[in-house]
Parts: sequence; C-alpha cells; structure tokens
Amino acid sequence: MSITSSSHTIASNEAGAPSPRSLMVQRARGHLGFIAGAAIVLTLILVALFAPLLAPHDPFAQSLANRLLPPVWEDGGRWEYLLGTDQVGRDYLSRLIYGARVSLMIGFGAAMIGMVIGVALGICAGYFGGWVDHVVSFFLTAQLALPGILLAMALVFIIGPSLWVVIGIIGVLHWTYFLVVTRSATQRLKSQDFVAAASAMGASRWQILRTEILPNLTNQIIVIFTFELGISILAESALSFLGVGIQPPTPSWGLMIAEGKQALFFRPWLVILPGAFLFLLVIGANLLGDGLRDVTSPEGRN
Amino acid sequence: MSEARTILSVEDLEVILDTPAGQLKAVRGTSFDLKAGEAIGIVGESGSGKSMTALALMRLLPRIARTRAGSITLDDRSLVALSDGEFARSISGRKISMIFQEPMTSLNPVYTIGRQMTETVVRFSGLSRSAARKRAIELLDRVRIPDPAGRMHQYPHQLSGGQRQRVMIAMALMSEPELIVADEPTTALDVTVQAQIMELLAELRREFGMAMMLITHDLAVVAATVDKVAVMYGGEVVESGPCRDILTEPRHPYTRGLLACVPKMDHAPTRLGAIPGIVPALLGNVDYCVFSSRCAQVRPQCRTAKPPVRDDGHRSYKCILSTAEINALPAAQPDEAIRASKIERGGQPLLEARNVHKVYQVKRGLFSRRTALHALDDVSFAIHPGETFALVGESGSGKSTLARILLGLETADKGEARLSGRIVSRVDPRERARLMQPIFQDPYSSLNPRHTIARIIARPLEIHDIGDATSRRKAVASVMERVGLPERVMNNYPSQMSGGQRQRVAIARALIMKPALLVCDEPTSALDVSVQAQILNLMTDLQRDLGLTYLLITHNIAVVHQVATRVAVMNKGQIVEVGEVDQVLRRPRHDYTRLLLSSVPEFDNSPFQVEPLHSGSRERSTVGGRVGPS
Repeated sequence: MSITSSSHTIASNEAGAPSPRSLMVQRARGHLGFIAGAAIVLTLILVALFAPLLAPHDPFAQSLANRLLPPVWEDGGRWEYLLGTDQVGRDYLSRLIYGARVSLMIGFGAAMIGMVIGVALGICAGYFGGWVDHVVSFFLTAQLALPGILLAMALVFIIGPSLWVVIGIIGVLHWTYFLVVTRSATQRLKSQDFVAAASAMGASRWQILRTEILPNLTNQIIVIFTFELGISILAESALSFLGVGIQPPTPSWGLMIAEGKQALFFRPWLVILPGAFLFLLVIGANLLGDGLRDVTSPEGRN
Repeated sequence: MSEARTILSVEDLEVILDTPAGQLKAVRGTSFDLKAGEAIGIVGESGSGKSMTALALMRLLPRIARTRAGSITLDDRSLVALSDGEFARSISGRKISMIFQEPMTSLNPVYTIGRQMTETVVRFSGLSRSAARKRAIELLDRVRIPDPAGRMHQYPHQLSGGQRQRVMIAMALMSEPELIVADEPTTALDVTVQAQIMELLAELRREFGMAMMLITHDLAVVAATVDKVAVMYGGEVVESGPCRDILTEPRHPYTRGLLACVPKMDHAPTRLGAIPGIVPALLGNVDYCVFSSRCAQVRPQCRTAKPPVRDDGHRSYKCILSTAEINALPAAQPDEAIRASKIERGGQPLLEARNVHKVYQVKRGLFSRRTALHALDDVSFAIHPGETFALVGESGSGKSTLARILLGLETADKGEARLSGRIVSRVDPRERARLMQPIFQDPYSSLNPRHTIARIIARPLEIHDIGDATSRRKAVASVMERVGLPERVMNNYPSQMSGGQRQRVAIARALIMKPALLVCDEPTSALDVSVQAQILNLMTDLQRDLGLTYLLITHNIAVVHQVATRVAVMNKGQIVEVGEVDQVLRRPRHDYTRLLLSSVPEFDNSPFQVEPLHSGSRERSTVGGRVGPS
C-alpha cells in the first residue's frame, strides 16, 4: 500500500485515504493521557520483568540489626537501603520491586480470566438472545448482587491461599463489565448487513462469531481489560491487606501496607511507599484504558 | 417575478473545514439570490457542499467549520455582522425556518407536538399562549393533519414519518418566516408521501408568499418544485439558471452528465451515461476546474486554470466551452438499448414463492394483548433463469421480509420458498450460497469494517474451503476487475472506500461463488445518482455476460423501469399486481399501482405516460400519510 505513483494526484484520492490504523496512531500521538498511562504501565512491567537485576538486595533476606530503617532522605536513613527497611530488616525497595511482579501477575491473570468468561458469555447472550440471554442476564444479576470482597475472602479461606488461587478467584469475580459491553455491542453488530451476508454465504454460527463479530469487539475489549487490570490489582491488595490474599513472606504491596499499618503513626513510609506504587500502577492502567478508548472509538463508529 | 423584492442575497460564501489532512473548503465562493416567493433548488451529490451552504446560512455548522462570506443580506439587513446570539434571537426560526431531512429525529420525543410548536413563538414573538395554540391548530389543519386539536397533545412517536414531516413544516411556518430552508425534506419518506409533501410545500409557498431554498440530490424533485436551480459540485456552483432550461438543456458537462445518469421512464431504457470516478476531496487551494478529474471534455488548460464564468444574464455556468461548443457535443447518454430480449419462461423457475405467509406478534405495551401483524399475506411468484424480477413497494410493504425468507435468513410461517424446486430452508446453507447471493442496501454496514477488501471478497471461498491462498488471490483479482475495482484497493479497509466502491465490493463478494441468482435489496438507494448509474450499468453488463438472474427489491420505479423485465407491486404484505414491466408501468390495473406511479416525481417536462383505465381514475389520492404498518 505504499504510495508509489504521485502522478495520480486526484485519482489516488480513492485509495489515498489514510488507513484506520494510521489514523489511530496519529490520534495516539496527540493523546497525553494515553502516553502517560502507557509509559507508567510499561515502566512497571519492565521493572517487574527485570526485578532480579534492579533490586539492590534479596527481598527475603532479613537483617535484624537493620530493622525499620527510614528512607534515605529522613534522619538516620542509609544509602545502602534507599527506601529503608521493614520490621524484620528486609530492604523495602527490593520488596517493592518484587511486589510489582505479584501485582502485575494478578492484574493480567485475573483480567484475562474475567475477559474469557465475560466475552464468551456476552457474545453468546448478544448473538443468540432468547433464553440464552435470559440465563446469562440472571448470572449477571446474581454476580452483581454478591458482595465481591466477602465472597473472595470466603473462597480463599475454603480453598487455601496461594498466588494462583487468588488470581483465579479475582478473575472469576470480575467479568461483569466484559459481559455488559460485549453483549450490547454484539446485539448492535448482529443486525448489520455483513453478518447477514456471512450467513447467506453459508458461514456457520461459530464462523460468524469468530470472524465477523469478534474482530469488531477488540477495541472495546482492550479498553475494559485495562480497567479491569487496575481493579484486580486493587482487589488483590485488599485481600492481602485482610490477610487472605498473598501470604508472607511473598512481597505484595497490599500485604506490605497491612504489615506496616501497626507502625503507621511513627513510620508512615511503610504504608505510604507501597500505597504510592499501587496508586501509580492503577492510575497508569486507568489512563491507558481511557486513552485507548479515545484513540480507538472514532474508528469504531463506522 | 422581476418586480418582486430580493429576500436573500448571498455573495461569495465560503465554508472552511480544518481536517487532520489539511484545510478543506466545503463551499467555495457560492453566490445566489432569491426573490420573495421564489424557490431555488440547490442540487448536488454528496460532498458537493449543498448542505453545508444551508447550514452555514442557518449558522448550524459543526464547530470545526469556519464560515466566511462577502455578504449575506436578508431583506436588506446584513447578517454577516450579527453575533450568534442576535442571529438566534431575531433571525433563526423567525425570518428563516428550516426543515430537516429526518422527521424521525428532528422532533423532540419527550415533548408534545403542541408544546414544540408553540414554544418558540410564545417566547420570541410575544404571541399569547392561546393565540399560539390557535395558530398551531390552524397550521396543522393546513398541512392536512387529521384531528389537529387532538394531535396537539400527542407525542412524536404517535405519528408516522410523513405526519412528522408535516408537523415540521407546520412548525416552520409558525413564525411566518420569509424564507424556508428545506434540507432533503422528503428523502427519508416513501414516494407517495414524498409527492404529497412536495405538493404541500409548493402550495404553502404560493399561499404565504415565502421564498424557499430546497436542498436535494434528487433532480426529479427539483423539476417539479422550484423556479431556479443551482447545481453544485466540489463546493462550487457550476451552473445556475431557470429550472426548466437547466433540466432540458444543460450546459455544464457535469450537469449534462448528471442528467444522463437519471433513469428516465419516457422511452425504452437505454444504457445510462455514467460519470466515471468519484467526487474528489479537494484539499487546499483549487486553481483548476473542480470537475476536471471526471470530465469527459477535459482540456489541458482545465487542470491549470479556473474556468471562466459564462453568464448571459439569464443563466450562467463555469466552463471553458462556449454554448455553441457544448451544443455540438455528442449526447451524454449513449443511445444503446439494454432491455433484455424476451425470456423463455418454460421449465422450472429458479426461485419461487408459494403462498408465503409471515405473521409477527406485536405487543404494544406490557399488559396489552398481542396483535398479529401480517407482514406477508399469501405471496406467490416465480422467477425464471435470466430475468430481472423487481419487487416494488413502500416501507412496511413486506418486501424486505420476503427477501429474508427467500434468502433463508428467516422462515415463513406458512407456505414455502423454493430454490430450483427445493424448499429453501431445507437446502444446506453452503449449497444455497452457491446458487444465490444477496446484495444489501447499505454498503456501509454490509462490509465488515475490520477486514481488508481482499479478505471480504475472498470470504466465501474461505467458508467453502475452495482453493489455497494464491488461487483465492487470483480469483479476487479477476472478480475485482470484473466489477471495475482497481487492484490497488485490495488491502484497503472499507472505511477508505466511497459508497459506490463499497457496493462494488459487495457485488464482487457475491459473484466470487458464481451464483445463478442475485437478490438485490435496494442496491442503489443509498448511493448518489451518478454512482447509481454506474452500479445499474454494471448490473446490466454482468447479466449480459454471466447470464445472471436478479431479484431486485426497490421502492424506485425508475430503477425498475431501467433494469427489470417483470415486476410485482407489493402493498401491505400482498402482491397486488404482477406482470411484464411495460404492462404494469404503462397500463396498471390496480389502484395502488396507479397511486404509486402517479407519485413518481415527473421529470424533464415529459410526464410519464400512464394510460388511464377509465377517465377520472388518475386523481392523486391524498389518503392519510401512513402507508402500511410502521
């Protein structure tokens, strides 16, 4: 599709219109929120991936001689421990860096599970309608009526806490947005002529769902995914804070806040630092989602 | 007319849009004026700038648009200097009223008709509530809304489309404007309703002595309604003058081409003269003729300099060719008869409907009883190989439901559709697809926006598992050539294509399986006249070369006359008349067919001849605005 002939200045109008993709790139470049969100999330992903290289200490190594050291800018802070140490003398910066791994794994894992459940149910409800829609809508209402954190706590308590259990439970409880959006988008797409054309071509229902409907949902799905990413990370922190999420000594930001809360008054950084990282990641994910919606939606209109 | 005062004078109007790709002048240097009681038609295809002209006048342009004008005077008062607030208070809705295209969305659904009609005049004209109400009822009566006093308390959804447009007209008349701007007022309406609305507008204009600006793409509507015409192309008025002169003796090559694109019903159908190419997007400064990229008479100097305006005081046009040179040109419409020869109708029909019934259960509220809506009532016909069978009817006549049943997308409640003698719903979908393919009305929704053109066209091959990547690509290339698509658009997405190109893609996709029958549901009604001509010509060519059979579903009688061999007229779920095209269109037997034919806008001073069955039966009926269930 390269523009090779410039002799057709007017005739090339028909082919020269910018492609949807290049328009999207153009919009993304001018979107500050999108750029900031993408930068934050990408940086944290890189930090998590290269945690062993970046962390100055072993996050599990205790040093009782160096308990509760303040960050370097406070009185008594040491350059060796940039962000200080916790109650058992583990380097706080290293634990925060490794904590990013847990948070991102939970965020992506849970959002992925939620996406699979929500999108599958949403497409079926939207496309088939009738009793399928009724059943799915019942599930949706039931899910919305359940107190999420309480249910998650109960489930973790029964199954037993581990990283994978936490991911699974948070994922299973966070599919409602995916469902609502894909269901209504599918209903709209279903009545479009290209779907009727596909079924007149003899395409099976499965082929129609996969090739005609699903590609038109990707924009919406990506946007919700980023939002759910933030929500899942917060949910993990809440569970860990309550003691039913990630178990010590695994470094998790929520768990670190919980461990720091007894010393909140005299050692506020123990809570503020993981809280700040959590805030940064969630706001980054939300900015990214917001930006993606703005960047992709003008094309979604046609 | 000459002594009448000038109501509106527009000079050198420009509308500039700042798009990401650069500055686009949607309207460039348009000038016209309008005398009291006069009607001007602004005609052009989509993208010509005709609606932008009207919106600029009403200050309703989107925010990215800027307006610049030499002068705009209404009744000797300059409008250019007015602030938006002043304009809204003293001009808009009081001196100039506007009628919009979509009657379904131009009334506010949460307010009663009465409130919407009286609100403005009570607030701005100082009319008392009761006086405004009285006037509203008078006007509703005047636009022939039955039971006007009762309607005042109704909401828009309780009215049909035609009735809503009547209410819009009555509302526009409330403040006794001097000028009415009507932007495609009948495009969304059925042809019988369109005829009534246009007649009503003409009548009201005479009665109230208003001037009217009619924006439309439909040349036939213009012919019947206005005094003078301005033809717009690429943001410029390329030709203007008295309506009759322009339509009978066009001078600008574009007008000539456009008129040759319109299917005419006064003689046996001939091949349409199509204007090649599409309306170009003219970015930046244009110092050449805007039509040069599509003009058949183009000269080198057309591409380097603006053409002169040739004005004889009576009419004017922008072209380097003089009137004498233009008159010497060959006709824009080739004189090539295209009606297919007689079709042998022995043997088995290709597609057949046998006593098809379809009933929808409609519930008008949570607790009301279900009522049965007979969408199709005992419909039977047969289509034989090689013919073009047209199904004509207005919205709600059931023609699209019938098409869906014939395509196997829905099932009939009673009766059956047969394809090559076998019941459609029992034929394997993949086998059915090889025999019959649909073409849909809206080329914007019939192509998956996330697939490339090549993928869309090759999709049937993918589904049927025919060939490998190379052979598919070859097949796509050859079918694209067949329908006149350049190979370079293969990797484009639908959003990069024009409406006409998209419809070609849809046809290519339908043809790649080499079906025997194409079911075309309003294949050209979403397209411009010049593009419609291209598509109709293409359909004719394909039929001649590939021996295709068409089922053509349309509301456009002229299209039927152009391409069909037989026609069935549908009304309220029933086929009221069926026969050879010439038979049905020249000597209709059924009253509804007569009504439909008499509603077709008369074009070119040569009214379509319908031989009366017995004298006095050709009166134009004005029974209510509602046609069929809606």
